[in-house]
Amino acid sequence: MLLYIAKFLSTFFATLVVAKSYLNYKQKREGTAVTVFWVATWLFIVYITYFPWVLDKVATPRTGLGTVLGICFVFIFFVCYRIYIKVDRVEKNFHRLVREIALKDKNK
Amino acid sequence: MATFDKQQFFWHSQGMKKQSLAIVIPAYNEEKTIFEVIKSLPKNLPGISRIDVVVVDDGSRDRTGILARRAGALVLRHEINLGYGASCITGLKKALLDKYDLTITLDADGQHDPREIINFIKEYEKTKSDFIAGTRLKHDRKKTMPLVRVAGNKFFGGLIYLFSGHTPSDSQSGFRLFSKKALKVASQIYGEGYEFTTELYVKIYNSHLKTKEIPIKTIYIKDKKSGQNIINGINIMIRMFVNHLLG
Repeated sequence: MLLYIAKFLSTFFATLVVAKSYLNYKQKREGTAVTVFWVATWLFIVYITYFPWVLDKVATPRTGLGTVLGICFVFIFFVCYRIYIKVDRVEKNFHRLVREIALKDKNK
Repeated sequence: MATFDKQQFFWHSQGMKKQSLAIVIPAYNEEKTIFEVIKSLPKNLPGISRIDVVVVDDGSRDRTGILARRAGALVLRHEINLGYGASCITGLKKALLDKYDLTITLDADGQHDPREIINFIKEYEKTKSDFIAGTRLKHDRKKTMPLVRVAGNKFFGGLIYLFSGHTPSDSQSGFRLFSKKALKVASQIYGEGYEFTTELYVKIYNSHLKTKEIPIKTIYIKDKKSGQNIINGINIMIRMFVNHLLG
């Protein structure tokens, strides 16, 4: 049952991400490398959910699927952290810019 | 014939240096009140040689900026809405750049009585405190503040205590006086929304500046949504934890 949910969710999210990525690429809001990266990553995720036995080659009975999932979670947390830091930095720069314009344009 | 000004005479006779004052008003879509608020600000104050009004128009979509300028204020405009904290910081930075001796912040919605500015100046002259906060809760015998706001205030007071070891009686009041020292500390804060108010107290207390609280009246305006809700409170708490963890 869980496998079916995983299949459905991965297909659903992959379709969303790939469609959005393709649209961004067409509108030149995203570079080729970034588009290829996201499409490949999501295709890989979908592939894993449909053919989970592929992981057996990486995760031996000793390491287990749990270990692989644990590594995935750590990676996801790392990505979230990086995204937070980047968004925070962009936001701060953005505020600084708006403030500088406000202070410069006082006589407008 | 020139009139005799007792206050001015007192200041001259005491040989005290007159100071400049910036009144900073952060405003977002306040066209109904901004003109009246600016017009009701005192034109003369004891010991103050120059009073300038700085309105930070935080990307208002109404005529806030136009009316503020018409009322004689210097208007700094954020091209987009950044939030209450960001507006305060812009105003404080302006006061710091123009080297004002004292800076007072008050809200644009008319909930503060501008006639009470003199109380801040008097308190400053008496105690030389770097940061004087107006409190709606201290000596509020009539208990005019709604219970939800009292609870919110206690919550944010607890949060400030957690990060600084001190608790202000009314952390959410926007009526405050800053000396040059306090201004330097306050203008370095990063907090775009209402978390600025909480962050401000933490920084001020941790900088070991001399602080003081004085009671102020508050005019609660009906049909006016102000203050913070619970979700916002939780959001502020998370932001503060993250900001302090990440430096």
